[in-house]
Amino acid sequence: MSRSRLAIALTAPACLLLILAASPAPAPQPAASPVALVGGRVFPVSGPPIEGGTVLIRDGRIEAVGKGIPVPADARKIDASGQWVLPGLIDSRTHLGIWEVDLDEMSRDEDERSDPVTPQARVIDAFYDESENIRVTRQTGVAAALVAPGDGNLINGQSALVDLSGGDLDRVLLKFPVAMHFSLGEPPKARYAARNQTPSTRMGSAALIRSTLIQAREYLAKRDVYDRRVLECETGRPGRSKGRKEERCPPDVPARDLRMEALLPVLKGEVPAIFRAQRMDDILTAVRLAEEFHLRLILSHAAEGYKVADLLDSRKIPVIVGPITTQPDRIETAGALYENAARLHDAGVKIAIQTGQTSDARVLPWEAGLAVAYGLPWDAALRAVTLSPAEIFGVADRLGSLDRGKQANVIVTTGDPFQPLSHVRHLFIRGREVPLRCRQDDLAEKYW
Amino acid sequence: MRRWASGGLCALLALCAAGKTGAALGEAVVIYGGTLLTVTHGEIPKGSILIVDGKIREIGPTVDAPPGAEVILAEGKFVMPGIVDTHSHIGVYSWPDVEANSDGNEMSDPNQAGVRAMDAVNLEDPAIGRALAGGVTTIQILPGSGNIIGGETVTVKLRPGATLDEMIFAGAPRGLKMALGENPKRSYGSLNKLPSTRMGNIYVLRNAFQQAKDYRARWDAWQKRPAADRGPAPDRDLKLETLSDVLAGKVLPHVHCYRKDEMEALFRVADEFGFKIASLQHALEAYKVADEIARRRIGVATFAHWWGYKWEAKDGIPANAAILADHGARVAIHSDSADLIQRLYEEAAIAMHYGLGREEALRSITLNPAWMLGVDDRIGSLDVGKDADIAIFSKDPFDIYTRVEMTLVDGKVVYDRSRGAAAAAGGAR
Repeated sequence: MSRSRLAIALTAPACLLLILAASPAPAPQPAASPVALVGGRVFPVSGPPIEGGTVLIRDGRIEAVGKGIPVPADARKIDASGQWVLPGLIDSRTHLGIWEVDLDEMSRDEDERSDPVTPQARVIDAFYDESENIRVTRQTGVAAALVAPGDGNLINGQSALVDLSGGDLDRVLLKFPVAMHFSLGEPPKARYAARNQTPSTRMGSAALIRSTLIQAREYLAKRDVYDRRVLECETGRPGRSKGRKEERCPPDVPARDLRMEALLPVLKGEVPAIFRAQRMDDILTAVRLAEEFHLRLILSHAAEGYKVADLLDSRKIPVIVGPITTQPDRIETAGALYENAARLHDAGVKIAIQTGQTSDARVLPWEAGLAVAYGLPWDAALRAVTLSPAEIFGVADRLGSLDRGKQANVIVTTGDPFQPLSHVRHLFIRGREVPLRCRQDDLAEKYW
Repeated sequence: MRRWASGGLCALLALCAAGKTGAALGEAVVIYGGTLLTVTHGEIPKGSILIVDGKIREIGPTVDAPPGAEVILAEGKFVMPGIVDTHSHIGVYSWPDVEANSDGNEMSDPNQAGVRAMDAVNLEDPAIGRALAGGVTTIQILPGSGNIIGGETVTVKLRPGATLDEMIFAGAPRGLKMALGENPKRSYGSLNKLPSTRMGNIYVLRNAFQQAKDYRARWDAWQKRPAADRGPAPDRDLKLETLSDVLAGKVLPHVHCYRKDEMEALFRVADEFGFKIASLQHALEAYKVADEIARRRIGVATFAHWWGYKWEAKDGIPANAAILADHGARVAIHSDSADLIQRLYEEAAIAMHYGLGREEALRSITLNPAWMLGVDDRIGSLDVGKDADIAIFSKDPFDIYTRVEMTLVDGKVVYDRSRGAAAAAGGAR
């Protein structure tokens, strides 16, 4: 709630609901005072660490990063000496806000189970911004997260990137749609085989994705023909064979299909396609489909990504690995290795790290730490939870590093953020300090 | 890791005191020069351990190693007791996770006191190798939580290549898995069968123990009668036999529960029938009744941070372990997962993040779980006379970048990262 609306509510509490209901759009937030984080070990990610550096935040953005930057008189000065200052972390795949309690169907909206092809499903239409999971997650320094649909369908829907400051979706939404999500391997085939429907095999999975994309292509072609006819009619340059039905002016309006329309930006390359694939052959199927339809492919999960690391590198296909703790507990993940992230990175593949979590996405920094324990260079791990996801999701102009002009998502920690014994002391999102307390702290305090 | 026979190395290692090596010694192993986390008597920097015939013979800044002892160089490494997990389903839900491998819940009656986990342990479960690669040496394998009384547990040492009989922890007390809350009521409620409420859960439990009490009385009466007058013995009933062994204190109950009210209901039943609970498992709300748990000397084995995955887990907080420890309860971090079991030391570190002290964190994966399983006289600390179940780490076990380099069970190396451990560890390397 903005401060102005809060003031009204306090003077006339009875009107609160009415006022909120009547608000057409969120009031602009008053500018926060500038903040100077002084003397910390600063990790811009885009450049080398700066010992005893200063990060200056103004109007929600990073104004300056470096050594010996003067602190403006009106700035709130925070002594960060002995502490680390880093970009807010980004979890590259969660179900935050659309999936509350695993075992309660009524609290879950991540997976539209009615059809294997649901490109029209948009996570923004199910995002519960009051979710306690968000407050829990940001405690470990996670400032932004991809909210992705579940992977039980072949085409799952459209994801969004949100920040974790809490509050209305229109405030926290960083980008939508980020990607169209596809899913190969066991989840869709397990679901639909149980119903004796397609897909019940990997062959069926690929075939249904192909036929859907071909259908979308044809839909696009029809739309193009219609658009051309409209233009021809408006410019008075009618087609050659006058009088035929398809040549009438103005032309008949074709029926719109929201499922197909959702796929058009994907076919045009405007929105990337994130393919969930674990086994090597599923990864190769994703590559083949992406090639056939000229999709901008991003791989997700990729338990056996290390087996085709060179191929992924040669085609510049980024991988949202993880979770790092993926186990060989399923047939399709029999090849899972803790070293997957390290091997992909070594081959030159751009990686980001996901938890795939909802209630426990706070483990992101420890997932990154585990990847380091199993061979990923520390700098690469930090990049995989900051700048690389920002680049993969097309928001690196705003997020992912401590650079002048970028959105001020900044954390101050007592030390290496990947160490469980470190703590986040401050979290800034869009330049505002966000409370790190959550209901779990209230419970602990009550019973300790 | 580097291993040598100490024959030519005595002088080099300066650990072979003359004179004491003449005693009749069996197979001797020395772990040399590591930081020893003893659990019971602090940390010994640059300490060594002498293992003879699978037991810890000496521990300290120096030990008297016999010639010919195998030497494991642990300089710069961290050495701690093998990790103990009170809650594992390895073998009864072995990998891969397919229906054919699902043997943990006999879902035909909510009282399954007659079934035993030992009858369903798949020793080829690749998770065993991964657990060893995580420094785990002793686990309790339990039936699942679909039933109020799920069946007997089995405590095993992870000895790869052994038969189950060889893996069973000799002398460990028997255990019984019980479960309250959502899982049993969901399993049977969805079939419109008893129990479909928490009331039904507790009724099933009380009814089972009432029957066991009657059963015991029948047998007692039969045994007390003069032999000539006895008549035929009462019919044996495997369920009631196990439960009457619980009443006799011969079988330790380990109870899956989440909410505080479930724990209180359980205490009422335990008091009504006079049995002692060994541990609460999961027990995400145990912090709300910490004093009562401490007073009753019941162990709590919990997650470091998992919460929120069902309604009864909504008040789960990561300070659970820390609050319990501060109130004087014995707390363990458990896995309940073939994933977490590989990194229980990291889980303990996460519990430290939320307030658990370092010493308590160390105990929570060693001595405390051993106590809950009734084997703390045998394992759980680096003390003379205890089994040489040991994990050697590359860094401090609570450092996120640490890795287990070697695991020993009864003084034998069962995992060695440097020796192409990938095969043994199912790919964990």
